[in-house]
Amino acid sequence: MSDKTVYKPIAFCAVVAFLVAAPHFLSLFYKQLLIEILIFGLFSLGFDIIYGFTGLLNFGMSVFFGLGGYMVLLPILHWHAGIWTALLICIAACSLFSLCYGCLIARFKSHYFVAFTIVVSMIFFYIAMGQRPITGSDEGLTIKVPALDFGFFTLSLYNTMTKYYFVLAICGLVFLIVRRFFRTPYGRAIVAVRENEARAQLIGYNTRNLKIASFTLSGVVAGIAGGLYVLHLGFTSANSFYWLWTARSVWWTITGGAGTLVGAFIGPAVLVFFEDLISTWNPDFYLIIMGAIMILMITLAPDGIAGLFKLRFSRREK
Amino acid sequence: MTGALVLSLLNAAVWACVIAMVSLGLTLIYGQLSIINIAHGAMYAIGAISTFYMTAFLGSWAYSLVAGPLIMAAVAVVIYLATLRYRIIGYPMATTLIISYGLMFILEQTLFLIFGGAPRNIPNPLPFQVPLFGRTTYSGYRIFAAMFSLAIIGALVTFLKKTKLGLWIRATSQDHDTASAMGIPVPSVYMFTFVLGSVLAALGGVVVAPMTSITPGMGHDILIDAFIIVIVAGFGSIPGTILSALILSLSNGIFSVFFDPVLAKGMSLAVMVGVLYWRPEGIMRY
Repeated sequence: MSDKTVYKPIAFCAVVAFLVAAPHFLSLFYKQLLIEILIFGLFSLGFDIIYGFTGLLNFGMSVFFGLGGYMVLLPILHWHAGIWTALLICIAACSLFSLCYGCLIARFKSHYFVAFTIVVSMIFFYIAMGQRPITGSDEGLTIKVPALDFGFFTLSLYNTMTKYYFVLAICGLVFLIVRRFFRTPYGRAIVAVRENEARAQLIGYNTRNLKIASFTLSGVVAGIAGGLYVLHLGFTSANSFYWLWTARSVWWTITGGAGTLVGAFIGPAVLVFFEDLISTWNPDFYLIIMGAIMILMITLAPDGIAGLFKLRFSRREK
Repeated sequence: MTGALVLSLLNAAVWACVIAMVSLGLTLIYGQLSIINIAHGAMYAIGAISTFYMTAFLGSWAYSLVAGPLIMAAVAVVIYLATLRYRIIGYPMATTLIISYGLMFILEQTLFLIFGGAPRNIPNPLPFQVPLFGRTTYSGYRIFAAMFSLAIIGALVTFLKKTKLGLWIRATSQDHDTASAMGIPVPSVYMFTFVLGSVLAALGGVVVAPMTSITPGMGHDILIDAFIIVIVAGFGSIPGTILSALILSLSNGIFSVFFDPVLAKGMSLAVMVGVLYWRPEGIMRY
């Protein structure tokens, strides 16, 4: 039995135990921070699916983030929809949108794919900025977040503890679904596209459909993250479509370790925590320090934090 | 209506010349180092902000035409030596993208600490008007800006086609291993190209400074424009770059006469997506 098989379940149990117990001993501020980390982790997971597992650098993830946010916000604002209805609308809209979008751009590769996605996200940004009555433009729209309705009892999301467990449950569920998906033969075939598309084609896979499937999944996951973020803040604006959001998801994923599912969560956990620490310590220089950390981390650990562990484990196995 | 349209188209053409110059800087860096330089927008802001200080302290805008690029070149050398030379070449695109994103943070925040976040303007250095037709006139400075940008592009083309260093740059971007085997000092060429690309961005900032409000974050939007222009042009094609810059800005100019300016921006990007969809390898084949 190698070290890896022993460590993995232990680490997994420790993380789950920490996440479940965390709100009972953390202060309100850190609870909020942890909620954000989970949501950003989910968003990075969306990017990780398309980049780390499929090898397509989607530099327009903010489209899904913003769209998911508005798809949760608008039904609640106009139709007084409940949270479950709003989330269902969000998932349906994001999957339909990313499916159509994926069909359109599946034929592009490398930097053309990057260009296409970045421009589409910017088009959405400008359209959202221009439609003040619908989207609220850069001032955004605010909602009163409805209570969680479980049929025979309701829980308010304004209670941070409830909100934390709600976000944790959804993130955990999505994480497990994605993890399961990449262990099915179909999910494996998507990884084959990343490794060598021509060979995957020769074996007989329809690589175009595989790419579209992965693109759709990534869009839905990022869309759910956007929806959760709106439920967390009770607010969204056209800025959620801006490319800086995409850049953040890329940064989080790469730092955490692209191509590993946990990496998508490790990245935001480390970086959002650092960001908070440094910005309270020195608000003037914090972006400069963050920039330096970014460059250092990428230069020292190009495979991310999860990549460092993988390297160590695999060396031990030999 | 016609007058507004003509003015809008003229503004768009001027803007196309400037942004074509900035985009060429981006192309040079991408073609040589395979880095999508996200810090390009911040470099553009460096040009504009150094112009602001030249005008404020030395009293004349003209100094900045020399000083802006020199400051940028110095900064670019430092950046290259501090970060990029560590065998960045050959890393995956997303990784190098993160490095330039980190650079953007550092540069922009430094500018913010020096300059402050409030937008500022500098007076028009060439405040004469050029008569067009009837009683319509057009800003002389804008015409100068377009001419200057075109002259820089012309100089760049001549430099790349006629000089030895230009030949080295073209050779290295085609195949750096063979170039190295032929005795070309590839690391120095990399550094020179990076500096040259940065200087083109800064020159864009210098030229634009008197026409717009200057902030440390002014490069965010131009970065996306420059990037899409580079892709639509097909990498490294200079006439393609000018043409796609013209398409982007002229369509923006036309739409902004009829629609809300923000919406017009989105629509002109949609036109670019259409062009890209129609010709993914670039609009010009040479």
